[in-house]
Amino acid sequence: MKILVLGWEYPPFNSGGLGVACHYLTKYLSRKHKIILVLPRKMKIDFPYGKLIFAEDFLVQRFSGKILEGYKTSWHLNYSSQLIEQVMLYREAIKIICQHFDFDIIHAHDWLTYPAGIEAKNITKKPLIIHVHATEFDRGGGQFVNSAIFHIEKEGLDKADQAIAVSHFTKDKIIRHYQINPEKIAVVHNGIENCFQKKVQNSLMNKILNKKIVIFVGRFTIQKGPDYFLKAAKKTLEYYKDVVFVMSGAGDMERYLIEEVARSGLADKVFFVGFLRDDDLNKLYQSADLFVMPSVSEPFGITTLEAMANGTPALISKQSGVNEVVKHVLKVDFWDIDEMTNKILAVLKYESLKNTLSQNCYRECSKISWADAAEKIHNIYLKFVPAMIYA
Amino acid sequence: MVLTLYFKVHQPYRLKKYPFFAIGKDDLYFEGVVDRYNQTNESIFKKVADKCYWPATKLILKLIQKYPQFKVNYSLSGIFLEQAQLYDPAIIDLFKLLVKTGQVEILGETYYHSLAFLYSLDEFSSQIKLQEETLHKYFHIKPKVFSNTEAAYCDDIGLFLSKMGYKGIITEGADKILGWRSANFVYHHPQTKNFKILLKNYRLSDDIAFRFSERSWVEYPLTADKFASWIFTLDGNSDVVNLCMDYETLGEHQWKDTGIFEFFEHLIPEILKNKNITFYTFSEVIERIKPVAPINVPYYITWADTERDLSAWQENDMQKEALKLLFELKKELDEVKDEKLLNNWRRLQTSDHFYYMCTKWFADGDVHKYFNPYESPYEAFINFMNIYQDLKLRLNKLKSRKEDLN
Repeated sequence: MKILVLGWEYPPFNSGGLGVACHYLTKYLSRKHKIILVLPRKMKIDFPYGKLIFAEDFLVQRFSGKILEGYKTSWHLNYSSQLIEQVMLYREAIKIICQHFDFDIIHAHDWLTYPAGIEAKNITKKPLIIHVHATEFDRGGGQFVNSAIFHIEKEGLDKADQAIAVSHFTKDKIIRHYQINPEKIAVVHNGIENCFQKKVQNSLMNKILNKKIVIFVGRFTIQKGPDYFLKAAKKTLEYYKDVVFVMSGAGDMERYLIEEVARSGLADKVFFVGFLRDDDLNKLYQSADLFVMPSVSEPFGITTLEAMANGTPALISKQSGVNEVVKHVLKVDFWDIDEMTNKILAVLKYESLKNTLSQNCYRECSKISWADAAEKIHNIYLKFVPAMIYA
Repeated sequence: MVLTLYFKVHQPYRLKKYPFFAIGKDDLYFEGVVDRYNQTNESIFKKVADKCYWPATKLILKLIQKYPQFKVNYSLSGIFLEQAQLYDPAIIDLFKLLVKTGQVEILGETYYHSLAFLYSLDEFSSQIKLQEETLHKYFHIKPKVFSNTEAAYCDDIGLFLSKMGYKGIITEGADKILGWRSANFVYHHPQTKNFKILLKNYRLSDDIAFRFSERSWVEYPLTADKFASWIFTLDGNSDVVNLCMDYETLGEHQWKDTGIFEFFEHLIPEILKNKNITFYTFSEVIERIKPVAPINVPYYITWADTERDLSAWQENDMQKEALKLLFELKKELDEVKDEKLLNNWRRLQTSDHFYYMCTKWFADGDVHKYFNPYESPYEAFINFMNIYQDLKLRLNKLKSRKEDLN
């Protein structure tokens, strides 16, 4: 079948898991289907999995300069009305794209592409599948909900023929907050590519410091819980001195976090290393004694699989989707700083715990793949074959 | 042909949820909530007593009184008896009645159901003697046959137990030590004919213990008649068939509604109908049945899992480190001679704590999960080590106090 895939970000121009998922799912689905991937803005991307088109090419108006930043650091836009403008611009382009291209199914990734997906369905009457990588209730950490975005999500979910949630955790949120029929929502967990991570030249960092390393990898936003990481770091340091905490990422809480570190007198214990990718990121994982994902609300949490693929023991929030698929990690409620600290201390103190987690998490992670995720989506596509014949 | 029935009765002292921050502040390791279902050691014991200890023991007593030819072997771990004394002492009275009939033999073992034999024979021996004293106190008996923790056995252990006065041991009829030979005979230690090795017939034992209520099993449902007929087919080419299982098979692993109690109630008379089959206690087996050959067991066997080895307790790095660190405390504990510390330390040796740390089949969520009070083997390790650190701290404090006095 021909699939019109509506994406927003794509590696290396991505800010997180959305781009990664879009990349690997199109890669594996392209083995059984013809893919037409639409991205908003023109950029240099190697795309061997089908046809890649840019919305921009079908418009007189250009996407705003900020959206380029948006690919890397979409949090700077703070989901403002400006971002919604771009989303609507993307929808305009889809109207024209629908006249030029033929396809059987529309697959829209996350809220940024829902209006375009609905438009494509209205024009072509083809089935619309929306893929929920996060909801507004995750991004705001349950505290802030942008009602304009909520309504875009709600309309997408209502009008879709099928929704795919990245976890049961997310499916439950969709049912609870958007009142969607559970039967319309399939769960397809994310995967990890090529678990056999090559050993990167080990970072000199821990050798120079001769200290244990605990890391945070993710956006510095309320959703990812970087402030809980900092609280646990503070508490851990009361009991264990030879450790440093490294935070990789960027985001609207960065300033607050840096100031908080300074205020607490932890400037020599907590380090910010910016947004890392590829080998730099693997290097960070591999030099770490423990990866912590203290997310307040995590639809999936691909970083956990990345850590595991690097053999790095992980301590993850139970409020996450990845919690449903992995067992050989430590788990904690994100708000329970005492328990988080208890577990961090144990990994720091006992090499045996670290080793056992490391061996087992690597083994477990090697059984999780994007190919399996793509296979499940393929089976969802097949559900729509008869409908097309009778159409 | 002879048939034996052996029940292992044991209940660990589980550890309470003990965070790092409690170290140095809390030495009540076994009080309060001990698992993820908000249970305490007391509530767990009472639950198992209700489902298994009471109905099972009443049934066995009834069968014993009804059929004078019926014999049963038991092992009752010291910490099981200790908890029974604390939470439901009438159970002990019931066992006393059983022993008085003369148709029941109680086996020797380590008081703490420990793995001490792996790390300190001195400690192993102390715990065996403690168990002997306990059995003497309650039942006025001296055990002659041994049952080690999880049926763990090797040649060295045999020799050691022989020197302690034991006449034999019951262990696993593991294929890897038997080879072409059958578990249904009596064997002896390669170095001493005075130490007999009795082997569990694991196929028939596990048919009851594990497969009884398994609906996907081709033999389901297992009736007393059918099981007895399997036993009868062995008559003529076997000397003794040893059926060994956890006591909790009755009512806890196999719930009452599976019909497990009715199964036993019908099985005993069904078997006794056959005049060629006799029930023996293990001591009777050892006294009356000639061993056919020596059997070499150069490495440890157990009755656990398909591997029949110690890997469920000491395979991964966590288990090895926890065990090693725990037994390293022995020397200092011997020096300070503090009863409470010694008792706490020994309760930590109970094999169950290390079993909870097993990661082998964690992902599959099987039998290991059912018995695990922790969410994961990693939690089990972390909790154990926090308590270990507190114990060590108390030990060091006591030691320096004693040194100051000197």
